Amino acid sequence: MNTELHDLIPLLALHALESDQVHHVEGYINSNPEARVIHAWYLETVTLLAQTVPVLKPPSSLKVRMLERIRHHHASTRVRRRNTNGRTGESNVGQ
Amino acid sequence: MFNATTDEYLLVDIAQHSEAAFETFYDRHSGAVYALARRILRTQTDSEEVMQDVFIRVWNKAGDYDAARGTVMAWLMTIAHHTAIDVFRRNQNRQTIELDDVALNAASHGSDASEMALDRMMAAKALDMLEESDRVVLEALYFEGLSQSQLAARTGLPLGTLKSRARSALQRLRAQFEELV
Repeated sequence: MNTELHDLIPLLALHALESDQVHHVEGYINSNPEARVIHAWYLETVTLLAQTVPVLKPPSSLKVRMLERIRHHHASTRVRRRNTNGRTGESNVGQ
Repeated sequence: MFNATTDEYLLVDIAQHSEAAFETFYDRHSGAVYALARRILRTQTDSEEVMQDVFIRVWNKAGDYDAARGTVMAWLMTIAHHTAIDVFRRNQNRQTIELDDVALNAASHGSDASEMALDRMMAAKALDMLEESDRVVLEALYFEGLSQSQLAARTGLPLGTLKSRARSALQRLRAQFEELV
């Protein structure tokens, strides 16, 4: 166990580390199952802080814009996929 | 197939690009995400930008959710918190809209399930029950977007002390919460 990095896990969960430290601590967590469990525990705990804020209804126009965005995004993804498949199909025909 | 039972199922369906699942997920959680964004950023414009970024990410990355790494709520609120803090740090020119203005517009979200509402109430109570020194550290780091170094400079606390205070404050918050629920 790397004590120095281990001790920074709560601060990573709080998003309070300097950017140069984040990469090191994340690397440590990804390579250490015990650290992953501890990080998950702190993320759950930090989420309690988010839950202390009273729920606030967003403007309803925002939902409309969101749904439009995902529809647009979904449609563009489908077109891109179709074009990619089309190109793949052409090259297969040529082989 | 669309399944409205749990957040985990909703994410599975969103990963398959089910608009109905996305809409249910949005209705269920947008109030919490928006509230957190407003708490951190204060302005409606910035908060709406965060909302869009967060939910577009949900739409695109729902398949990345890993239950072994925590609950859906923790996953979502981590994305929301990081996005809001990143916008805050980018702007740094915090607007002067007071939180009270936001509170005046606060409304109970229709889709906020009673269990979630109870958790929120208990979380607020658990935070209130902390000693002020713990609460101040957690609020400055989490809501004000200060890094550990910035908070150390503000308070004059050595980094090591700050690090252990943040850790023990989180542990006490969790313990208080678990005692309450």
